[in-house]
Amino acid sequence: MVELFLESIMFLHGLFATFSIVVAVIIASIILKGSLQGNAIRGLKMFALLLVILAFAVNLTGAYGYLFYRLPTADSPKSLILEVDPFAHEILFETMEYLGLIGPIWSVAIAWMISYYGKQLATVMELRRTLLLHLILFVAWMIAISYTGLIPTMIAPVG
Amino acid sequence: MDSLYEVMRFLHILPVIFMSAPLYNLIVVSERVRFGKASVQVDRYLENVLRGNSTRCYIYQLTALFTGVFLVALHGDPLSSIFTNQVILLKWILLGVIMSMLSVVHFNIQPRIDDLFSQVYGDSIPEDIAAKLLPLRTLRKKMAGVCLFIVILIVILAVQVYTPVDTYLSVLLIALAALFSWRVYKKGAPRGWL
Repeated sequence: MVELFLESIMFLHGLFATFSIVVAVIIASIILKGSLQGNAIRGLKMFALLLVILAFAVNLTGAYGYLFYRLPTADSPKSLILEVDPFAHEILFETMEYLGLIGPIWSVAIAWMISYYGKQLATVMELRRTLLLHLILFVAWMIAISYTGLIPTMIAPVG
Repeated sequence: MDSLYEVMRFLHILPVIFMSAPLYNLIVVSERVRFGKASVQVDRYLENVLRGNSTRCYIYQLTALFTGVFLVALHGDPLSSIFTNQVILLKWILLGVIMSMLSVVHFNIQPRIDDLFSQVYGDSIPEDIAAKLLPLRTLRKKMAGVCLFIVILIVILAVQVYTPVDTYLSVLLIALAALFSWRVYKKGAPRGWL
């Protein structure tokens, strides 16, 4: 039962990461649309909130899995990975571990920009461009971070 | 348990069949081109059909995703095999790609097309609006073509989740999928496969 719970949490970890990319694409699509009417701004705020929830959920599920990943036993994923391919842990996993912490902060920053500037996004082009740049970088970062988590998982998954 | 697995498999395959929307959207769009000049009502009807399909497609994609997860569990594999089995992982990534593409169409291209149609008051589309519509509709058509290719790719991968086929055969099938998608994009495949 504990195993199934851990498996489910790690599955959700991947699911939330994938959905956060899709939601970031949705926000970027709405911003690129050009004319931002009342409904579009409301939609933006809703998806921004969803992005924040997903970014926090990715980190919380990841943190839970991390407890089992780094158990000081010979058959823990970390031990197995270090035996087979140390690069996957020392470079890739460690990168995900530290750079992954940016996600929730970044998503809150994006949501704050959308919430604070609101209707101004419809008229001020520079604001839209800045937000778009953040979203493109967020998606690229999320894909890179997912990759650094995927390789160790393929060697020795948690759960 | 066996019958539950079969029911889940049925519920997994069915939405994938329903995800053939890009194929029929491309056929409908090709037929519209063949139809030639017509009242704006014809275009409005066409846009209504295309707009509604994206919402349906989201639902089918999510159904395929979650029934797929249940299938993995019911097959007796750990859920981590979604990320360790390369075929399932590739299917997962491709589903993410088509969900993102659909989002671009649903939240960006389609609303811009709808905005332009809301500016049409007469019985025909004025030249300036038609000129703005053309690149948007072309982009949407191209994305539908790519989406169709990815859906076929997912089906090719689906049949080899547990029993991989020969690499050459996979490459051949992928090439045929690309050719078919290209044909549907260009001509709407009036003779089925051709």
